[in-house]
Amino acid sequence: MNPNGSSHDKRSAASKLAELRSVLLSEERDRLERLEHREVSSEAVAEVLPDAILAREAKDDRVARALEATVKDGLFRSARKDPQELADAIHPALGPAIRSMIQASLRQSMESLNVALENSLSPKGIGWRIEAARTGKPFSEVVLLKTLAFRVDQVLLVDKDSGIIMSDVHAPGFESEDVDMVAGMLSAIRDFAADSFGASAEETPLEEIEFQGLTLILAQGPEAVLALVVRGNPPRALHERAAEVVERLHVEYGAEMNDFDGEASSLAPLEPLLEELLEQEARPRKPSKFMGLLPKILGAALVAWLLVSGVRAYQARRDLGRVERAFAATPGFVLTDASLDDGRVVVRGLIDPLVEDPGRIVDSALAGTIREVDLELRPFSSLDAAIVTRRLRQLVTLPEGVGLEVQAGDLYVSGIDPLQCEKAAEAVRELPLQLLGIQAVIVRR
Amino acid sequence: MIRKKICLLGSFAVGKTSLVRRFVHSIFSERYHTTVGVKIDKKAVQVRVDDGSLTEVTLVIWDVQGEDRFQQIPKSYYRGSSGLLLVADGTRPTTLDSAIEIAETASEVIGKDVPQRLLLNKGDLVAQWEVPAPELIRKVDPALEPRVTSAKTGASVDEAFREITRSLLMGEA
Repeated sequence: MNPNGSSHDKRSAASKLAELRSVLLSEERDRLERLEHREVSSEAVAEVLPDAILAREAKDDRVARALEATVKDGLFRSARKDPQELADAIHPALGPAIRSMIQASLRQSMESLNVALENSLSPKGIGWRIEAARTGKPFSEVVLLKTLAFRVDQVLLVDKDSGIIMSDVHAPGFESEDVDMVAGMLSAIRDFAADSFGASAEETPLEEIEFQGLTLILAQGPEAVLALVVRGNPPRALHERAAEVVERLHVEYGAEMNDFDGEASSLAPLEPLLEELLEQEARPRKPSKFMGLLPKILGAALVAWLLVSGVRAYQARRDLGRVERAFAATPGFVLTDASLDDGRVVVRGLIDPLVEDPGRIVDSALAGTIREVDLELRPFSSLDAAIVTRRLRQLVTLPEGVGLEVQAGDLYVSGIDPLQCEKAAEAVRELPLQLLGIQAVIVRR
Repeated sequence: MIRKKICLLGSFAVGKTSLVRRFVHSIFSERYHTTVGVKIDKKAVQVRVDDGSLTEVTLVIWDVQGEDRFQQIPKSYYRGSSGLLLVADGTRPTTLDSAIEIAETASEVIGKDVPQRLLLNKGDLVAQWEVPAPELIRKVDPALEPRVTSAKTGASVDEAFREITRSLLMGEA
């Protein structure tokens, strides 16, 4: 065999084989090439993409992570290009949320403002300011904390569809109406309010029903509505607390609530969560200590005033009596009137000029007191024996050892020396004795 | 304790309210009908289910005001119902059609799977019915298990409540 011929044969055989392979496997080779060059048609991708994303999402969150940057970028571009378009798109979702947030914070600040205004100048208000400064809390928060005055009487959890009660807890001692019917009616009223005012019970649910002194706070979740029966003035924060509890209930018992078929015992485990709301805030508004004591203080003040004025009146009358007696006992003084005028003793009378300083009589009668005494006195000539004697002693100079005494209109002159006595009697007799009320001058031996 | 909501439906003056008045516990005034369009009452019913056990069910009964062109009843009132009691006035055959119509509206909200029962009320006046009772009953879908009741004498009312309770417990339509 020719070696050259043989190599030629081999080559032609190889080329034939290649040709055969290309004929037989052309389809596979095309597919292989397409795969190698990743020539995947967009139609094919479009066909599988949604399912692929769903399948992947069920497995992990890589799709979301992968798209995050793109979506963010897209949003930014859209916002820069036409902000209005984006605003329009998200308005239905954001509008109600923003509105209710603003309403909530406005109401909360109104509440704080009212209380703060009421209390800003009171001793309590000043105390709160000090506490706010000490604890670093805003004053309004301190005010809110101190003035919460409400009690959660009852907490109802109501099935959103049927209005059937899922669970209810109430404060000790609280007597509730039939909860089955109340829950149903509550649910009807929610629907009624939503339907009547063109709102959707889902998007803008009834949040509060208010009566005199009683508030129903409603918070809704996908399966159930939570209703708090609150007595007093609940703060806005209670709405948020209720909303939090509804969320927690749905997170922890969502499946049970979804399966609820009217059998309340199936939801018994969630009662502790509802009870938390009962315990939530039981701080009663303590009446201010001062206001509580006010009647007592007033009463005590009245008693004290009565006592003091009683004592004063007694003292005034006592002093008046003392002054009256002192003047009545004073020779040469005729008391015409003695009275009390605004705590002062007023004495009116006639006084002989020979009466020694009447101020001293008052002073000795009222020793130890500070009573003021007004004297309205007019002079007169007294015929009292003591005054007559005093006047005679002024008019005549009596020798030593001679005494004078007036008794029943007679003047008795007495002494050891009869001569001196006679001499004195002589001198007296020369006086106008009628003016002194003396009928006779008698010398006593 | 199991609680179930049922709706009492029908046109005006077919005797829905009278039907429940004697049989239910009520705390709300009948004024609610004209204001909110519904009054809610309650009735405890004891039924023997198929396995022979005695079960007590509290029926929360939504006595829904008959709808007319002046008053629209929120459809959401029907939501969550486990059963419908349709009430018609035997003396006025048109009320039968209205009841069925209202029930259809309700079914749009709650689906067709809940048991529905028809009560032909004013059975005490059966002699005055324009259309005799058997004929009226023949016109009605047998699934509604129509029965003649009388709110006045109380005839068959208790049975009607007990029967629908049993059906809704058994999940029968």
